[in-house]
Order: sequence, then C-alpha cells, then structure tokens
Amino acid sequence: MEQPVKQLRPAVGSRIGINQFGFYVEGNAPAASYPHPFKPALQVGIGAAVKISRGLILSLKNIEPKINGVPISGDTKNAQPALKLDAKNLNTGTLASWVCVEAEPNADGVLDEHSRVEIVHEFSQPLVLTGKFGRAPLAMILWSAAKMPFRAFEIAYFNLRYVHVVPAPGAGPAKHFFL
Amino acid sequence: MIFPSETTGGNKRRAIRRVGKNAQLTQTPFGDCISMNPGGRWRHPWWVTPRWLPAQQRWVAFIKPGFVNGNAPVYRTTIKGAKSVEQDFGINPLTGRPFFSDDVFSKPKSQTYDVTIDVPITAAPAIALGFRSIGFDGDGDVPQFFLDRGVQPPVPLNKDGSQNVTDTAPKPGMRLLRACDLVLHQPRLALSSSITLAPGPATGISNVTQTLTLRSVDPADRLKVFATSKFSPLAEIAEGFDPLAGDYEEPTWDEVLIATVFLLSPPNATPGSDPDGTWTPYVRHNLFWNLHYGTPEFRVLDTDPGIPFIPPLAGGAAQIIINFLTASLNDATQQALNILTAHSMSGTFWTPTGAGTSAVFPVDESSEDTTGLEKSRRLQRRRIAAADAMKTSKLDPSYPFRGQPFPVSFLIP
Repeated sequence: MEQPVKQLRPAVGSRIGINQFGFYVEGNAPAASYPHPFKPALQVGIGAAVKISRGLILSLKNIEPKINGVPISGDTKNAQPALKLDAKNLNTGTLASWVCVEAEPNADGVLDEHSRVEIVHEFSQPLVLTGKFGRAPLAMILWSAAKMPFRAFEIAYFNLRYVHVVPAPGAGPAKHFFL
Repeated sequence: MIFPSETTGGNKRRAIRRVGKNAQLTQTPFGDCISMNPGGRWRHPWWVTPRWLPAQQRWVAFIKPGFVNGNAPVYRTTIKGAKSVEQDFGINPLTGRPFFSDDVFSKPKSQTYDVTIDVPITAAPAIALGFRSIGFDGDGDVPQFFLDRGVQPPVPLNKDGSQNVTDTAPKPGMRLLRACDLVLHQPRLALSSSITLAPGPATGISNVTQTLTLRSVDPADRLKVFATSKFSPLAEIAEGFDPLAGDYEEPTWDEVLIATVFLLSPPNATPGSDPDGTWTPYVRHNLFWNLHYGTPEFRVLDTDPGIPFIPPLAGGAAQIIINFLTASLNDATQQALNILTAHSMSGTFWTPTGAGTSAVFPVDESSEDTTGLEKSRRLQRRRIAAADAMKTSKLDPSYPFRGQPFPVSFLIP
C-alpha cells in the first residue's frame, strides 16, 4: 500500500512560508488583554507619557477625569490626551511613581461638572484620604536607573465611586473614599 | 520557528522539526500539523503560579503583582552574601604593594553570611513554599474538589480518641494532598489596654481604671507577602479573655489570605512522602483585585478617663451583697471588652468595585430577571444554573470573582 506523502500543513492561527533556509511558520498569538476603565498605555522613550482609557468617577454626576483640561478619552475637539511623565522628583530608592486621580468636591461634598477631577503624576503618596481633595492610584510606573519609565502596572480596574465624609464638629478632617 | 527543507544547497539533510514557543506540532497520517496556541488567559492581580524548581528540588510560587493603596508588597528573603576575610599586613616598603599580595601566596578565603533583602513583587520573586498535609496522612477538611480526584479524608478516630486501625489502609489509587498558604501582611498601629485596680473611697469598693494607648509599628515591618504552611486569621479578641485579669495588646499588623497552593500526588503515593515535581499544583485564590486599606481613627473616651466605670469588688461582706457585687464585676468585664472592641485599631481591606459600599460588582441589568415566559430569560436562568453547578468543580469563583467589602463604619462622621 502506498504511503501518503507527508506535508507540512498550516492549521488554526498559523502560516507557512519558505526561504533558502527552510520552512518557517508564523502566527499571530493574541495577547492576554483585558480592556477595563482606567487602563494605562505607556509610551516609553524620549517624551515618555501615559494615556489612560476612559473611566468614570461616580458621584452626583459621573465625571470623566481630565488631563490638561481634556477628558482622558478625548472629545470632539481633542484627541486622547497623554500625561507627560517627568522624573524630576523621582525617588531613586524605589524607582516608582504613580498615575493618580484627584477629586475635589464642591461645598455639598459631591462631584459635579465644575469639580476638579484630574489625572496627576505622583511620586510619594498615591492615596490621600484626608484633606481638601482625595487621591486614588490608577497605575504604578516603574523607572530604570537611567530615569526612563519602562513598565506600567494597572491598579484600578473599575470605575470608582467617590464618597465624601463630612466629619462631626471636632472629629478630625474630612475624608474622601474611593469605593 | 524554522523547519529545514529536505534539501538545502544541493545536500540532502535530514529534516528536524522542532516546536517553538506558542506552537503545537501534531503528527497525522497526512503530514505534520502546526497550530499556534491562543493568547494566554488574562490573570487577575494576586494570581499565583506554582512551579517546581528541579535544581533546588523545591516548589516555589510567583504572584502577579497586586497593590494595597497603590503600593506593591515586598517578599522578604534571605540570600547568601560573601565577604573576604583579608587581613591587613601593611605595605611592603620595597615593592610598594601589600604584603602577601603576590600570586604565589594563596588568596584569602571569603566568608559567607546571610543577608535579608526585600524584593518587591513587581520583580517577580520566587516565594519558597512549605506544605502541610491534608487528608489521609494529615488532618483538616479536604475540599470536595480533591475528594472528587481521589484524595481520602483523614482516618476517623475512635470514640476514645485512639486510631481506628481498621481504616488505616489506603484505598487503591489514593492520592495525597499538601497545602501552603500565601498571606498578605499590612503593618498598622495597635491598641494596648492596661487595667489597674485601686481601693475606692468606700470599704469593699475598688476603682477599675482602664488605660488605652497606641503602639507604633515596628520600623522594620513592611507591607509584604509570605508563605506559611497554615495561616491562622487573627482573632479579634480571644474567646474567654478577661480584660480585668491582665493587660491586652493587639498585634501591630493585619493579615489576609492571598491564596492556598495545593499539591496533589500521583495515585498510590506513599503516605507521608514529600512533594516533588511529579505532583500536580492547584491554587485556590482568596484575593482577586487590588485593595484599599484603612484603619479606624483613635478617639478619646468621652467619659472621665480616670473612672470609666467603678465596679465594687467583694470584700467579705454578706452573701446578698456578694451576689450583687459579682454581677457588677461581670458588667465591668463586659464594659472593658466593649471598650476594647470599640477602640480596636484593626484595619480593613476593601476592593474598589465602583458599586459603592457593597462588594458586589455592578451587574448587567439584562441578566437580573431570569423568571417569566420570555425565552431569553429562561435560557439565561439555565445558564446561571449551569454556572452554579460548575462552581463545585472549580476552586475559584468565576469572573468577576469576589471583592472585599467596604466597612460602612468608615462612613460614620
């Protein structure tokens, strides 16, 4: 009985090519990806910056944080803004910084369209629960010894609900929670 | 990945087909078939990957970085350092070089010593695991997941506590189980309470003064992860603890279980044997998302701190008075316990889910109502029932997993 000719055949997700060295196989293995609110996209190299995917701070109004006055997902007049990453205050011991959202409530303790809700770059305190405004970390940036950012770890995976707790008289400072 | 052709440059060469990264080679009667692996699954924070290190002959675990208040914990480990034990004999005035520095002299030996270092989990440290035995040759409850895979529960004891010798023989195909817990450790301030009893103004009466203070964190303590064979959650206050009998001190940390790594042996393993590379690892996670952490504020008592309560103590009085006094003492104990509980600095981890104070994730409204006559609803109900049934065959819950609830007491002004 005649044996069938053995051939190399491409299957799911693969392609076969040939050159003078032999056959080669290539394929597109999709990356393990999870699109979620506040997902960071790091741009490395000179002029390093980070873009943050659309996410909301939930309060009386659902507010999309801004970078330089532009919503983080862009708007009809502006492309998606990027936050410049400057290493001038970088702690060379930890070589880490944070991309955070800061929320400053109005007199009623809620966020409205006039409230300051913006993305900032921080080097020491990623979470601030007391004081005039609250701050929550969205991503951690790791830096090389040459002060170049090389990796962003996502921290926030969901929209954040902002709650302002007004203290009783004499009971300490106001508190900001991100739930 | 390159497959050399049968002929290259006119020379007959044997084709060697190797499988590269993300590829699978399947041999069929009609030829070899190559397929690419799909992309890896997305892993949540705190995802634990156990791995056997053949060179070190031990199991280790890697944790996908998770964050607490935006900070990455560290893994504290000990490594070997080396320093030379060179002695200083001075400089040879003839050569201008140190004495005995020529190559003909043997070089000074180096001395090894242990160095403790903190490796952030963003650097993916290998966490050494130590295991406890569960099941036939150990103790503890065996999860149903492993009973279904051939693990035998512990041998039951007789009524008098002795070993039941009739059930000690392992069943054919029995598999052994080992477990190790990975724990997240968060330092914090802690409450201390001291009690003083002093004679009161009246005969047979004593003042009980409870003093609350805060203890600071050990400066060397840090947010960290560690592995332990058996994690015991901190009890809030030990059962039966009498605050009037002695001082009380909280620990200066909070801890929460990250995950439990299980190792399942091949069938018919020898009871008591140590796990090696032939065992199969499984992980049951407890944390799935990054966390926020907070501690309550310490508030000074409103009452006179010198005399929070004055229970009279028995002083050899009449029987009726002793009964009354005993009841008062119990009240004092309960009051002291209440004060301890109310002022505990025990902190709370919570998951920012976006759903407010609830740890429940916002759900798709279309999946809420599964009753009624509508076909899509009934199908949805069937899918949910099937998902519930699947839960018993998995160690982890399905996406969006599980969150840590937010303590609503933090919202009280």
